[in-house]
Amino acid sequence: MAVNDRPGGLTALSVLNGFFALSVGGATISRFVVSYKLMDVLENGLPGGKWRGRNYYQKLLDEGLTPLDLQILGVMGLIATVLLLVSIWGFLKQNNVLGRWLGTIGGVALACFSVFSILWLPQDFLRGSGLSIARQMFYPVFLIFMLHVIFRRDFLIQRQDLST
Amino acid sequence: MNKTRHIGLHAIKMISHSMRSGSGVAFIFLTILIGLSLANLAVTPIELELVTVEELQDSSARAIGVALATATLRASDEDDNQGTLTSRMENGDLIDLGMWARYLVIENPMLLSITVLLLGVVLPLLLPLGSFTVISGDVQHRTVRYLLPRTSRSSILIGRWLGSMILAWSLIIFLLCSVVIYLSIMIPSESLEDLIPWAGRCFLALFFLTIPYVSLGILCSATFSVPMVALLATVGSTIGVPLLSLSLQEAWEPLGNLLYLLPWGYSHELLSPTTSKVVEASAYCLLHGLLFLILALLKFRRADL
Repeated sequence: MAVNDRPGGLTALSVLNGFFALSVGGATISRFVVSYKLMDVLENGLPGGKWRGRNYYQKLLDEGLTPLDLQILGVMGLIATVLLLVSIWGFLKQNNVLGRWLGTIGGVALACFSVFSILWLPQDFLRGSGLSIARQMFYPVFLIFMLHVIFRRDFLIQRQDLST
Repeated sequence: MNKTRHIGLHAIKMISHSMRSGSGVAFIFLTILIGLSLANLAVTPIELELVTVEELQDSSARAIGVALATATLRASDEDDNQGTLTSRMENGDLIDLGMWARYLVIENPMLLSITVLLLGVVLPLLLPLGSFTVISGDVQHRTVRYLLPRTSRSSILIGRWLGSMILAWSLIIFLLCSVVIYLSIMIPSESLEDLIPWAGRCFLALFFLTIPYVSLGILCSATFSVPMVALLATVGSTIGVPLLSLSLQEAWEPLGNLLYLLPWGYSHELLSPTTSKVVEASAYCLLHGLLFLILALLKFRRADL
């Protein structure tokens, strides 16, 4: 199948996947960095003087958040980032496994990352209301709908082309 | 096959093609994302308890009054700050605008009203994304030639126009439903009994607002054979008309009426407390849409494809 036979929507989805992979990747790095700082705070206590992160870490401790929780969120984010990035290749090549299925698992991982962030992190940490989180949830649902309803046949036709 | 069936087929094909195309995916994604962001903008101060409902009602009534004064071209040169305009509203000069703002934020669910007002400003810029390739995409690749022996040019254009409208209306319904469900669950002051009728009214306002802007997108798509030029022309005219009229109004006041070249001059009246004004604004939207559609039909019928 020539490059031009690929629906434009799949190319657009691959761009959106890249955008979301980068944004989740950024959040993942932040979760790991905060988890190590929180570990430090738990071992040595909150540093004295005018430390900018004092309130921030105090709130995390008040919420009962442990470094392990943040690391679990970080791992979830990392999985979502890697799967979304790999699925870009699958979308462009219209590969059923790499594109449709890894994209689906990536979407589920992205949704899990958002849901667990809402459940575990304090509101100040998320810097947004529930509706902004609903907005974050929209992309995974949209991605899965597009892959399994709108572009399903494009992936299956490509698989048939390869097998013949 | 009769003409109505042809139009229906073109509309269905247009919707399914739109969802598979890059511009369609961008349109759906951006409309929902920006719509939810605007709702978030309205809800966040209350949800994070940064302000109370009463404080937000007060400040948003003033802000809406100022926006209405600007939209109705009644903000004069002396109104160099918001305070002057607010006092004019309270003193009786612009009392109708004050009442209008109160109707939107006090008598009806405030957060939904603010969201819909913001959507009314942003939607005209998003709608061209769903319609700019409707004709120009096929004309550019010359694929429209394969359709012409089987159907008429007017069926293609009207069918695709209908498809674009249905897609835009579906997205608006989805957006309003999400916001209403969210508000009814999360914000205790907004009850479902008040939200549902007001959401219906807001949908009607956005329903009529969609017609002229989608038709404008179709007109540009039928005029220019390169899709990006069509998009640029639609977005450029949508932004350019209000900017031009408001700046020319300062030089000579009657030039402000250029705002009526597009629905910018009367679209806010779709949410007016007076029924006659709503009906009038809806009729103007329909006429504007019809005018753009007829122009598009004339252009497309004579086009060398």
